[in-house]
Amino acid sequence: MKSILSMTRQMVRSVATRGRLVALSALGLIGVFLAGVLRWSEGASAIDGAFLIDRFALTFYIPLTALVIATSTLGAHLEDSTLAYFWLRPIRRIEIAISGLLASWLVLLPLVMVPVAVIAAIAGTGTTVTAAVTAGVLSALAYGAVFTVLGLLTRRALVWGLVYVMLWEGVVAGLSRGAGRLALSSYSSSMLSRLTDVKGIIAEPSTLATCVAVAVGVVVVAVGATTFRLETMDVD
Amino acid sequence: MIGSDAPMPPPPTQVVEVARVSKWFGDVVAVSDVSFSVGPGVTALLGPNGAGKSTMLRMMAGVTPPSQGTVQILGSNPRKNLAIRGQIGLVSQEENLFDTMRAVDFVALAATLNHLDDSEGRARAVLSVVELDPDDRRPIATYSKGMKQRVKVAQALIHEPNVLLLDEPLTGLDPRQRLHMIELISNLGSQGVCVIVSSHVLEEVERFGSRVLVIAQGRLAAHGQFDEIRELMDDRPHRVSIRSDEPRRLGAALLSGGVSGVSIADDTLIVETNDVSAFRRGIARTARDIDVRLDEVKPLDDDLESVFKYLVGR
Repeated sequence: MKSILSMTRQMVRSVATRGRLVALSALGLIGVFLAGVLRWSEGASAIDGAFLIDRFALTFYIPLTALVIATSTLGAHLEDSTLAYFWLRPIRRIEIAISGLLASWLVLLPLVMVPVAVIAAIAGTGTTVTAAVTAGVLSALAYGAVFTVLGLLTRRALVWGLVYVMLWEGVVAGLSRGAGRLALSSYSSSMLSRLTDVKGIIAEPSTLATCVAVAVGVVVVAVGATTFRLETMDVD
Repeated sequence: MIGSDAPMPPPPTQVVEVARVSKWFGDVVAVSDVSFSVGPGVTALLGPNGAGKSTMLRMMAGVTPPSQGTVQILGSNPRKNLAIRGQIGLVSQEENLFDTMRAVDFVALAATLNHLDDSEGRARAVLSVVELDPDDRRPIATYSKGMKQRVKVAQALIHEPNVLLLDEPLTGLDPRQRLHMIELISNLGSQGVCVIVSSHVLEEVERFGSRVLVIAQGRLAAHGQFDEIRELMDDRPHRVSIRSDEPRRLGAALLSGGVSGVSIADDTLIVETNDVSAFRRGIARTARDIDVRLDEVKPLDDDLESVFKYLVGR
Protein backbone atom coordinates (compact mmCIF):
# COMPACT_ATOMS: atom_id res chain seq x y z
CA MET A 1 0.00 0.00 0.00
CA LYS A 2 2.89 2.34 0.84
CA SER A 3 4.35 1.67 -2.60
CA ILE A 4 1.06 2.57 -4.30
CA LEU A 5 0.72 5.79 -2.31
CA SER A 6 4.31 6.82 -3.03
CA MET A 7 3.99 6.14 -6.75
CA THR A 8 0.60 7.85 -6.93
CA ARG A 9 2.01 10.95 -5.23
CA GLN A 10 4.88 11.15 -7.71
CA MET A 11 2.58 10.60 -10.71
CA VAL A 12 0.19 13.31 -9.51
CA ARG A 13 3.10 15.72 -9.14
CA SER A 14 4.36 15.06 -12.64
CA VAL A 15 0.98 15.18 -14.38
CA ALA A 16 -0.54 18.16 -12.54
CA THR A 17 1.63 20.82 -14.13
CA ARG A 18 0.57 24.45 -13.78
CA GLY A 19 0.16 24.85 -17.56
CA ARG A 20 -2.16 21.86 -17.87
CA LEU A 21 -4.26 22.85 -14.86
CA VAL A 22 -4.67 26.46 -16.03
CA ALA A 23 -5.56 25.49 -19.63
CA LEU A 24 -8.06 22.83 -18.58
CA SER A 25 -9.62 25.06 -15.91
CA ALA A 26 -10.04 27.76 -18.54
CA LEU A 27 -11.90 25.21 -20.67
CA GLY A 28 -14.19 24.54 -17.70
CA LEU A 29 -14.83 28.26 -17.34
CA ILE A 30 -16.21 28.33 -20.88
CA GLY A 31 -18.93 25.94 -19.67
CA VAL A 32 -19.62 28.14 -16.67
CA PHE A 33 -19.88 31.15 -18.99
CA LEU A 34 -22.32 29.27 -21.28
CA ALA A 35 -24.39 28.30 -18.22
CA GLY A 36 -24.48 31.96 -17.19
CA VAL A 37 -25.67 33.02 -20.65
CA LEU A 38 -28.34 30.30 -20.65
CA ARG A 39 -29.55 31.28 -17.18
CA TRP A 40 -29.65 34.97 -18.11
CA SER A 41 -31.57 34.37 -21.36
CA GLU A 42 -33.85 31.47 -20.40
CA GLY A 43 -33.86 31.30 -16.59
CA ALA A 44 -33.04 28.17 -14.56
CA SER A 45 -34.46 25.00 -16.13
CA ALA A 46 -33.92 21.29 -15.42
CA ILE A 47 -34.16 20.52 -19.13
CA ASP A 48 -31.79 23.25 -20.35
CA GLY A 49 -29.36 22.48 -17.53
CA ALA A 50 -29.35 18.75 -18.34
CA PHE A 51 -28.78 19.39 -22.06
CA LEU A 52 -25.92 21.80 -21.36
CA ILE A 53 -24.29 19.30 -18.99
CA ASP A 54 -24.64 16.56 -21.58
CA ARG A 55 -23.48 18.49 -24.65
CA PHE A 56 -20.68 20.42 -22.97
CA ALA A 57 -19.47 18.40 -19.97
CA LEU A 58 -20.23 14.75 -20.72
CA THR A 59 -19.42 14.69 -24.44
CA PHE A 60 -16.66 17.32 -24.63
CA TYR A 61 -15.12 18.72 -21.46
CA ILE A 62 -14.71 15.56 -19.36
CA PRO A 63 -13.44 13.31 -22.22
CA LEU A 64 -10.99 15.97 -23.40
CA THR A 65 -9.67 16.73 -19.92
CA ALA A 66 -9.37 13.01 -19.17
CA LEU A 67 -7.47 12.56 -22.43
CA VAL A 68 -4.91 15.25 -21.58
CA ILE A 69 -4.42 14.15 -17.98
CA ALA A 70 -4.71 10.37 -18.08
CA THR A 71 -2.61 9.73 -21.19
CA SER A 72 0.23 11.55 -19.40
CA THR A 73 0.02 9.74 -16.07
CA LEU A 74 2.01 6.71 -17.19
CA GLY A 75 2.55 7.83 -20.78
CA ALA A 76 4.74 10.79 -19.86
CA HIS A 77 6.92 8.54 -17.72
CA LEU A 78 7.24 6.17 -20.67
CA GLU A 79 8.01 9.08 -22.98
CA ASP A 80 10.81 10.53 -20.83
CA SER A 81 12.17 7.09 -19.86
CA THR A 82 11.49 7.50 -16.13
CA LEU A 83 8.97 4.63 -16.01
CA ALA A 84 11.96 2.35 -15.37
CA TYR A 85 12.35 3.92 -11.91
CA PHE A 86 9.03 2.31 -10.97
CA TRP A 87 9.36 -0.75 -13.17
CA LEU A 88 12.78 -1.85 -11.87
CA ARG A 89 11.60 -2.13 -8.28
CA PRO A 90 10.37 -5.39 -6.75
CA ILE A 91 6.72 -4.40 -6.86
CA ARG A 92 3.89 -6.10 -8.69
CA ARG A 93 2.92 -4.58 -12.03
CA ILE A 94 -0.68 -4.25 -10.91
CA GLU A 95 0.51 -1.85 -8.19
CA ILE A 96 1.99 0.44 -10.86
CA ALA A 97 -1.25 0.14 -12.88
CA ILE A 98 -3.41 1.02 -9.85
CA SER A 99 -1.12 3.94 -8.98
CA GLY A 100 -1.46 5.28 -12.52
CA LEU A 101 -5.22 5.02 -12.36
CA LEU A 102 -5.44 6.65 -8.93
CA ALA A 103 -3.19 9.50 -10.07
CA SER A 104 -5.35 10.10 -13.15
CA TRP A 105 -8.49 10.21 -11.05
CA LEU A 106 -7.01 12.34 -8.28
CA VAL A 107 -6.10 15.07 -10.76
CA LEU A 108 -9.10 14.63 -13.03
CA LEU A 109 -12.00 14.49 -10.57
CA PRO A 110 -11.52 17.85 -8.80
CA LEU A 111 -10.54 19.49 -12.06
CA VAL A 112 -13.75 18.55 -13.87
CA MET A 113 -16.29 18.10 -11.09
CA VAL A 114 -16.09 21.63 -9.73
CA PRO A 115 -17.00 23.25 -13.09
CA VAL A 116 -19.63 20.55 -13.75
CA ALA A 117 -21.33 21.21 -10.41
CA VAL A 118 -21.18 24.98 -10.95
CA ILE A 119 -22.59 24.69 -14.49
CA ALA A 120 -25.44 22.49 -13.23
CA ALA A 121 -26.15 24.85 -10.34
CA ILE A 122 -26.29 27.91 -12.60
CA ALA A 123 -28.23 26.48 -15.54
CA GLY A 124 -30.28 23.75 -13.84
CA THR A 125 -32.03 22.91 -10.63
CA GLY A 126 -31.11 20.98 -7.47
CA THR A 127 -31.80 17.63 -9.16
CA THR A 128 -29.61 18.63 -12.09
CA VAL A 129 -26.64 19.19 -9.79
CA THR A 130 -26.90 15.73 -8.19
CA ALA A 131 -27.44 14.03 -11.55
CA ALA A 132 -24.63 15.97 -13.25
CA VAL A 133 -22.16 15.18 -10.49
CA THR A 134 -23.10 11.46 -10.49
CA ALA A 135 -22.92 11.12 -14.28
CA GLY A 136 -19.77 13.26 -14.36
CA VAL A 137 -17.99 11.09 -11.79
CA LEU A 138 -18.97 7.94 -13.71
CA SER A 139 -17.73 9.50 -16.93
CA ALA A 140 -14.43 10.74 -15.43
CA LEU A 141 -13.67 7.35 -13.87
CA ALA A 142 -14.27 5.49 -17.14
CA TYR A 143 -12.45 7.93 -19.43
CA GLY A 144 -9.60 8.25 -16.92
CA ALA A 145 -9.14 4.48 -16.92
CA VAL A 146 -9.28 4.11 -20.71
CA PHE A 147 -6.88 6.95 -21.41
CA THR A 148 -4.41 5.83 -18.72
CA VAL A 149 -3.90 2.53 -20.52
CA LEU A 150 -3.91 4.29 -23.92
CA GLY A 151 -0.91 6.35 -22.73
CA LEU A 152 1.04 3.12 -22.30
CA LEU A 153 -0.11 1.53 -25.54
CA THR A 154 1.01 4.22 -27.96
CA ARG A 155 3.19 7.28 -28.06
CA ARG A 156 0.43 8.94 -30.12
CA ALA A 157 -2.15 8.53 -27.39
CA LEU A 158 -3.43 12.11 -27.71
CA VAL A 159 -4.11 11.68 -31.42
CA TRP A 160 -5.85 8.31 -31.02
CA GLY A 161 -7.81 9.62 -28.05
CA LEU A 162 -8.97 12.61 -30.07
CA VAL A 163 -10.00 10.32 -32.91
CA TYR A 164 -12.03 8.24 -30.45
CA VAL A 165 -13.72 11.21 -28.76
CA MET A 166 -14.32 13.38 -31.82
CA LEU A 167 -14.86 10.85 -34.60
CA TRP A 168 -16.14 7.70 -32.92
CA GLU A 169 -18.19 9.19 -30.11
CA GLY A 170 -19.04 12.42 -31.93
CA VAL A 171 -19.98 10.99 -35.32
CA VAL A 172 -19.93 7.20 -35.73
CA ALA A 173 -21.68 6.38 -32.43
CA GLY A 174 -24.68 8.44 -33.52
CA LEU A 175 -25.11 6.46 -36.74
CA SER A 176 -25.88 3.02 -35.33
CA ARG A 177 -27.01 1.43 -32.09
CA GLY A 178 -24.11 -1.01 -32.05
CA ALA A 179 -21.51 1.72 -32.42
CA GLY A 180 -23.30 3.71 -29.73
CA ARG A 181 -22.77 0.86 -27.28
CA LEU A 182 -19.02 1.29 -27.74
CA ALA A 183 -19.20 4.97 -26.81
CA LEU A 184 -18.59 5.77 -23.14
CA SER A 185 -20.50 9.03 -23.50
CA SER A 186 -23.70 7.13 -24.29
CA TYR A 187 -23.65 5.62 -20.77
CA SER A 188 -22.94 8.89 -18.98
CA SER A 189 -25.66 10.56 -21.05
CA SER A 190 -28.01 7.68 -20.21
CA MET A 191 -27.28 8.11 -16.52
CA LEU A 192 -27.94 11.84 -16.71
CA SER A 193 -31.16 11.22 -18.60
CA ARG A 194 -32.36 8.63 -16.07
CA LEU A 195 -31.44 10.71 -13.03
CA THR A 196 -32.93 13.97 -14.30
CA ASP A 197 -35.82 12.26 -16.07
CA VAL A 198 -35.19 14.55 -19.06
CA LYS A 199 -36.09 12.88 -22.37
CA GLY A 200 -34.21 13.40 -25.61
CA ILE A 201 -30.70 13.64 -24.20
CA ILE A 202 -30.08 10.22 -25.75
CA ALA A 203 -32.45 8.26 -27.98
CA GLU A 204 -32.53 5.00 -26.07
CA PRO A 205 -30.96 5.45 -22.65
CA SER A 206 -29.43 2.41 -20.95
CA THR A 207 -30.57 1.48 -17.47
CA LEU A 208 -28.72 2.84 -14.44
CA ALA A 209 -27.50 -0.66 -13.60
CA THR A 210 -26.08 -1.07 -17.09
CA CYS A 211 -24.30 2.31 -16.86
CA VAL A 212 -22.67 1.43 -13.54
CA ALA A 213 -21.78 -2.09 -14.74
CA VAL A 214 -20.15 -0.69 -17.90
CA ALA A 215 -18.12 1.83 -15.89
CA VAL A 216 -16.94 -0.84 -13.45
CA GLY A 217 -16.16 -3.21 -16.34
CA VAL A 218 -14.17 -0.53 -18.17
CA VAL A 219 -12.10 0.18 -15.06
CA VAL A 220 -11.41 -3.52 -14.41
CA VAL A 221 -10.41 -4.13 -18.03
CA ALA A 222 -8.21 -1.01 -18.01
CA VAL A 223 -6.38 -2.17 -14.87
CA GLY A 224 -5.89 -5.61 -16.42
CA ALA A 225 -4.69 -4.18 -19.74
CA THR A 226 -2.30 -1.76 -18.04
CA THR A 227 -0.87 -4.56 -15.89
CA PHE A 228 -0.45 -6.84 -18.90
CA ARG A 229 1.19 -4.07 -20.90
CA LEU A 230 3.61 -3.33 -18.05
CA GLU A 231 4.51 -7.01 -17.82
CA THR A 232 5.23 -7.45 -21.50
CA MET A 233 6.54 -4.11 -22.73
CA ASP A 234 10.03 -2.84 -23.43
CA VAL A 235 10.58 -0.19 -20.78
CA ASP A 236 12.67 2.38 -22.63
CA MET B 1 15.72 -36.18 -2.44
CA ILE B 2 14.09 -33.42 -0.44
CA GLY B 3 14.45 -33.59 3.32
CA SER B 4 16.21 -32.15 6.30
CA ASP B 5 19.36 -34.14 5.51
CA ALA B 6 19.49 -32.96 1.92
CA PRO B 7 22.50 -30.69 1.43
CA MET B 8 21.80 -27.09 0.54
CA PRO B 9 22.69 -26.40 -3.09
CA PRO B 10 25.82 -24.28 -3.35
CA PRO B 11 25.24 -20.64 -4.26
CA PRO B 12 25.75 -20.06 -7.98
CA THR B 13 29.30 -18.97 -8.78
CA GLN B 14 28.04 -17.25 -11.91
CA VAL B 15 25.70 -14.43 -10.99
CA VAL B 16 24.77 -13.36 -14.50
CA GLU B 17 24.31 -15.91 -17.26
CA VAL B 18 23.63 -14.81 -20.80
CA ALA B 19 22.96 -17.64 -23.25
CA ARG B 20 22.77 -17.15 -27.03
CA VAL B 21 21.05 -13.82 -26.64
CA SER B 22 20.01 -11.73 -29.62
CA LYS B 23 17.98 -8.55 -29.69
CA TRP B 24 16.59 -6.85 -32.72
CA PHE B 25 14.47 -3.75 -33.21
CA GLY B 26 12.64 -4.15 -36.52
CA ASP B 27 15.38 -4.76 -39.08
CA VAL B 28 18.17 -3.53 -36.82
CA VAL B 29 20.10 -6.20 -34.95
CA ALA B 30 21.42 -4.63 -31.74
CA VAL B 31 22.84 -7.79 -30.15
CA SER B 32 23.62 -11.01 -32.02
CA ASP B 33 24.01 -14.43 -30.44
CA VAL B 34 25.96 -13.35 -27.37
CA SER B 35 26.81 -15.77 -24.55
CA PHE B 36 28.82 -15.18 -21.41
CA SER B 37 28.63 -15.57 -17.68
CA VAL B 38 29.83 -13.24 -14.99
CA GLY B 39 30.57 -13.84 -11.33
CA PRO B 40 31.13 -11.49 -8.39
CA GLY B 41 33.59 -8.62 -8.87
CA VAL B 42 33.89 -5.92 -11.50
CA THR B 43 33.44 -6.81 -15.16
CA ALA B 44 33.74 -4.19 -17.87
CA LEU B 45 31.64 -4.21 -21.00
CA LEU B 46 33.90 -2.49 -23.51
CA GLY B 47 32.83 -1.43 -26.97
CA PRO B 48 32.37 1.54 -29.27
CA ASN B 49 29.21 3.64 -29.22
CA GLY B 50 26.31 1.76 -30.79
CA ALA B 51 27.94 -1.64 -30.20
CA GLY B 52 25.00 -2.97 -28.19
CA LYS B 53 26.36 -2.46 -24.65
CA SER B 54 23.35 -0.53 -23.36
CA THR B 55 20.92 -3.02 -24.89
CA MET B 56 22.90 -5.84 -23.26
CA LEU B 57 22.74 -4.12 -19.85
CA ARG B 58 19.02 -3.41 -20.25
CA MET B 59 18.35 -7.06 -21.02
CA MET B 60 20.32 -8.06 -17.91
CA ALA B 61 18.23 -5.62 -15.84
CA GLY B 62 15.08 -7.10 -17.39
CA VAL B 63 13.72 -3.81 -18.71
CA THR B 64 13.81 -5.19 -22.23
CA PRO B 65 13.36 -8.85 -23.12
CA PRO B 66 15.77 -10.62 -25.48
CA SER B 67 14.34 -11.45 -28.92
CA GLN B 68 16.11 -14.79 -28.64
CA GLY B 69 18.09 -16.60 -25.95
CA THR B 70 17.96 -16.30 -22.18
CA VAL B 71 19.27 -13.97 -19.51
CA GLN B 72 19.41 -15.26 -15.96
CA ILE B 73 20.33 -13.34 -12.86
CA LEU B 74 21.07 -15.54 -9.83
CA GLY B 75 19.40 -18.38 -11.72
CA SER B 76 16.15 -16.56 -12.56
CA ASN B 77 14.63 -14.47 -15.30
CA PRO B 78 14.78 -10.85 -14.07
CA ARG B 79 11.61 -9.95 -15.98
CA LYS B 80 9.55 -12.59 -14.20
CA ASN B 81 11.00 -12.83 -10.72
CA LEU B 82 10.21 -9.92 -8.38
CA ALA B 83 12.70 -11.06 -5.72
CA ILE B 84 15.49 -11.12 -8.29
CA ARG B 85 14.51 -7.66 -9.48
CA GLY B 86 15.13 -6.48 -5.93
CA GLN B 87 18.70 -7.76 -6.25
CA ILE B 88 19.50 -5.58 -9.28
CA GLY B 89 20.59 -1.95 -9.41
CA LEU B 90 20.69 -0.18 -12.78
CA VAL B 91 22.26 3.12 -13.76
CA SER B 92 21.09 3.79 -17.29
CA GLN B 93 22.32 6.44 -19.70
CA GLU B 94 18.94 8.18 -19.70
CA GLU B 95 19.32 11.62 -18.18
CA ASN B 96 15.73 12.17 -17.09
CA LEU B 97 14.86 11.69 -13.45
CA PHE B 98 11.82 12.87 -11.49
CA ASP B 99 12.98 16.40 -12.03
CA THR B 100 10.65 18.22 -9.65
CA MET B 101 11.81 16.12 -6.70
CA ARG B 102 14.73 16.77 -4.39
CA ALA B 103 17.51 14.19 -4.65
CA VAL B 104 16.82 12.87 -1.15
CA ASP B 105 13.12 12.36 -1.96
CA PHE B 106 13.92 10.64 -5.25
CA VAL B 107 16.31 8.19 -3.59
CA ALA B 108 13.90 7.72 -0.64
CA LEU B 109 11.16 6.81 -3.14
CA ALA B 110 13.47 4.12 -4.52
CA ALA B 111 13.97 2.83 -0.96
CA THR B 112 10.21 2.75 -0.32
CA LEU B 113 9.59 0.87 -3.56
CA ASN B 114 12.23 -1.65 -2.44
CA HIS B 115 10.21 -2.15 0.76
CA LEU B 116 12.97 -0.75 2.98
CA ASP B 117 12.26 0.93 6.29
CA ASP B 118 13.66 4.37 7.22
CA SER B 119 13.75 5.29 3.55
CA GLU B 120 14.82 8.88 4.18
CA GLY B 121 17.64 7.88 6.54
CA ARG B 122 18.93 5.38 4.00
CA ALA B 123 18.62 7.94 1.20
CA ARG B 124 20.65 10.49 3.16
CA ALA B 125 23.35 7.91 3.84
CA VAL B 126 23.69 6.77 0.24
CA LEU B 127 23.70 10.35 -1.06
CA SER B 128 26.66 11.01 1.21
CA VAL B 129 28.42 7.98 -0.27
CA VAL B 130 28.18 9.56 -3.75
CA GLU B 131 29.23 12.92 -2.30
CA LEU B 132 25.91 14.75 -2.69
CA ASP B 133 24.39 16.96 -0.01
CA PRO B 134 21.26 15.23 1.40
CA ASP B 135 20.03 18.61 2.67
CA ASP B 136 20.13 20.22 -0.78
CA ARG B 137 16.64 21.66 -1.25
CA ARG B 138 16.96 22.30 -4.97
CA PRO B 139 14.95 20.09 -7.36
CA ILE B 140 16.92 17.59 -9.43
CA ALA B 141 16.09 19.59 -12.57
CA THR B 142 18.61 22.23 -11.48
CA TYR B 143 21.45 19.70 -11.08
CA SER B 144 24.45 19.45 -13.39
CA LYS B 145 24.95 16.32 -15.50
CA GLY B 146 27.53 15.00 -13.05
CA MET B 147 25.24 15.53 -10.06
CA LYS B 148 22.37 13.78 -11.84
CA GLN B 149 24.73 10.91 -12.62
CA ARG B 150 25.52 10.57 -8.91
CA VAL B 151 21.81 10.65 -8.01
CA LYS B 152 21.30 7.78 -10.45
CA VAL B 153 24.10 5.83 -8.79
CA ALA B 154 22.59 6.54 -5.36
CA GLN B 155 19.15 5.18 -6.37
CA ALA B 156 20.85 2.06 -7.76
CA LEU B 157 22.76 1.46 -4.52
CA ILE B 158 19.95 2.20 -2.08
CA HIS B 159 18.88 -1.44 -1.69
CA GLU B 160 22.45 -2.83 -1.61
CA PRO B 161 21.93 -4.96 -4.72
CA ASN B 162 23.95 -8.09 -5.48
CA VAL B 163 24.06 -7.14 -9.15
CA LEU B 164 24.93 -3.61 -10.17
CA LEU B 165 24.64 -2.65 -13.84
CA LEU B 166 26.26 0.67 -14.71
CA ASP B 167 25.95 2.15 -18.19
CA GLU B 168 28.83 4.59 -18.75
CA PRO B 169 28.74 5.71 -15.09
CA LEU B 170 31.66 8.13 -15.39
CA THR B 171 29.89 10.31 -17.97
CA GLY B 172 29.66 13.93 -16.87
CA LEU B 173 31.85 13.51 -13.79
CA ASP B 174 34.85 15.75 -13.20
CA PRO B 175 38.28 14.10 -12.68
CA ARG B 176 37.99 14.03 -8.89
CA GLN B 177 34.49 12.57 -9.00
CA ARG B 178 35.65 10.01 -11.57
CA LEU B 179 38.37 8.84 -9.19
CA HIS B 180 35.84 8.60 -6.37
CA MET B 181 33.38 6.66 -8.54
CA ILE B 182 36.08 4.26 -9.76
CA GLU B 183 37.10 3.65 -6.16
CA LEU B 184 33.46 3.08 -5.14
CA ILE B 185 32.90 0.63 -7.98
CA SER B 186 36.12 -1.25 -7.22
CA ASN B 187 35.21 -1.47 -3.50
CA LEU B 188 31.77 -2.88 -4.33
CA GLY B 189 33.45 -5.46 -6.56
CA SER B 190 35.85 -6.46 -3.78
CA GLN B 191 32.91 -6.85 -1.40
CA GLY B 192 31.47 -9.52 -3.71
CA VAL B 193 28.92 -7.46 -5.60
CA CYS B 194 28.67 -8.44 -9.26
CA VAL B 195 29.31 -5.10 -10.97
CA ILE B 196 29.03 -4.83 -14.74
CA VAL B 197 30.15 -1.48 -16.02
CA SER B 198 30.01 -0.39 -19.65
CA SER B 199 32.48 1.95 -21.27
CA HIS B 200 33.79 2.88 -24.70
CA VAL B 201 37.07 4.17 -23.28
CA LEU B 202 39.89 1.65 -22.93
CA GLU B 203 41.74 3.69 -20.30
CA GLU B 204 38.62 3.82 -18.13
CA VAL B 205 38.34 0.05 -18.22
CA GLU B 206 42.00 -0.28 -17.30
CA ARG B 207 41.36 1.71 -14.12
CA PHE B 208 38.64 -0.68 -13.01
CA GLY B 209 41.34 -3.39 -13.14
CA SER B 210 38.73 -5.84 -14.18
CA ARG B 211 37.70 -8.67 -16.41
CA VAL B 212 36.66 -7.35 -19.81
CA LEU B 213 33.93 -8.36 -22.26
CA VAL B 214 34.49 -6.66 -25.62
CA ILE B 215 31.28 -6.04 -27.55
CA ALA B 216 31.42 -4.78 -31.11
CA GLN B 217 28.71 -4.69 -33.77
CA GLY B 218 26.37 -6.48 -31.38
CA ARG B 219 28.69 -9.47 -30.97
CA LEU B 220 31.00 -10.61 -28.21
CA ALA B 221 34.36 -9.95 -29.86
CA ALA B 222 36.69 -10.96 -27.04
CA HIS B 223 36.79 -11.59 -23.32
CA GLY B 224 39.41 -12.00 -20.65
CA GLN B 225 41.44 -10.04 -18.12
CA PHE B 226 42.31 -6.49 -19.12
CA ASP B 227 45.99 -7.32 -19.78
CA GLU B 228 45.04 -10.17 -22.13
CA ILE B 229 42.71 -7.90 -24.08
CA ARG B 230 45.33 -5.16 -24.24
CA GLU B 231 47.87 -7.68 -25.58
CA LEU B 232 45.38 -8.94 -28.15
CA MET B 233 44.84 -5.41 -29.35
CA ASP B 234 48.57 -4.69 -29.61
CA ASP B 235 49.31 -7.94 -31.44
CA ARG B 236 46.93 -7.24 -34.31
CA PRO B 237 48.32 -6.07 -37.69
CA HIS B 238 48.89 -2.31 -37.66
CA ARG B 239 49.14 0.04 -40.64
CA VAL B 240 51.44 3.02 -40.43
CA SER B 241 51.69 5.86 -42.91
CA ILE B 242 55.17 7.34 -43.43
CA ARG B 243 56.09 10.48 -45.35
CA SER B 244 59.77 10.81 -46.25
CA ASP B 245 62.04 12.21 -48.98
CA GLU B 246 62.74 8.69 -50.36
CA PRO B 247 59.76 6.41 -49.67
CA ARG B 248 60.82 3.64 -52.07
CA ARG B 249 64.28 3.19 -50.54
CA LEU B 250 62.82 3.34 -47.02
CA GLY B 251 60.17 0.78 -47.99
CA ALA B 252 62.77 -1.65 -49.28
CA ALA B 253 64.82 -1.26 -46.10
CA LEU B 254 61.80 -1.84 -43.89
CA LEU B 255 60.78 -4.93 -45.88
CA SER B 256 64.17 -6.47 -45.33
CA GLY B 257 63.85 -5.49 -41.67
CA GLY B 258 60.79 -7.70 -41.16
CA VAL B 259 57.58 -5.69 -41.68
CA SER B 260 54.81 -7.76 -43.22
CA GLY B 261 54.04 -5.49 -46.19
CA VAL B 262 54.66 -2.11 -47.79
CA SER B 263 52.89 -0.09 -50.48
CA ILE B 264 53.28 3.41 -51.84
CA ALA B 265 50.39 5.75 -52.60
CA ASP B 266 50.88 9.43 -53.54
CA ASP B 267 54.50 9.37 -52.33
CA THR B 268 53.32 8.09 -48.93
CA LEU B 269 54.65 4.80 -47.69
CA ILE B 270 52.06 2.51 -46.07
CA VAL B 271 53.64 -0.15 -43.86
CA GLU B 272 51.92 -3.15 -42.34
CA THR B 273 53.41 -4.68 -39.21
CA ASN B 274 52.37 -7.28 -36.65
CA ASP B 275 54.68 -5.88 -33.98
CA VAL B 276 53.92 -2.20 -33.77
CA SER B 277 56.03 -1.64 -30.65
CA ALA B 278 59.19 -3.00 -32.30
CA PHE B 279 58.40 -1.05 -35.46
CA ARG B 280 58.03 2.20 -33.48
CA ARG B 281 61.37 1.55 -31.76
CA GLY B 282 63.24 0.73 -35.00
CA ILE B 283 61.91 3.11 -37.66
CA ALA B 284 64.11 6.08 -36.75
CA ARG B 285 67.27 3.97 -36.66
CA THR B 286 66.48 2.35 -40.05
CA ALA B 287 65.92 5.79 -41.64
CA ARG B 288 69.15 7.11 -40.16
CA ASP B 289 71.12 4.05 -41.33
CA ILE B 290 70.12 4.55 -44.99
CA ASP B 291 70.23 8.35 -44.69
CA VAL B 292 66.51 8.98 -45.42
CA ARG B 293 64.65 11.90 -43.89
CA LEU B 294 61.41 11.11 -41.98
CA ASP B 295 58.76 13.84 -42.36
CA GLU B 296 55.82 12.12 -40.67
CA VAL B 297 55.03 8.75 -39.08
CA LYS B 298 51.30 8.30 -38.44
CA PRO B 299 49.34 5.23 -37.27
CA LEU B 300 46.39 4.67 -39.61
CA ASP B 301 44.14 2.51 -37.49
CA ASP B 302 45.01 3.11 -33.90
CA ASP B 303 41.55 4.33 -32.97
CA LEU B 304 39.38 2.08 -30.82
CA GLU B 305 36.86 1.66 -33.64
CA SER B 306 39.38 -0.14 -35.85
CA VAL B 307 40.56 -2.22 -32.91
CA PHE B 308 37.01 -3.46 -32.40
CA LYS B 309 36.63 -4.10 -36.14
CA TYR B 310 39.75 -6.25 -36.03
CA LEU B 311 38.51 -8.20 -33.01
CA VAL B 312 35.15 -8.86 -34.64
CA GLY B 313 36.75 -9.98 -37.89
CA ARG B 314 39.24 -12.39 -36.29
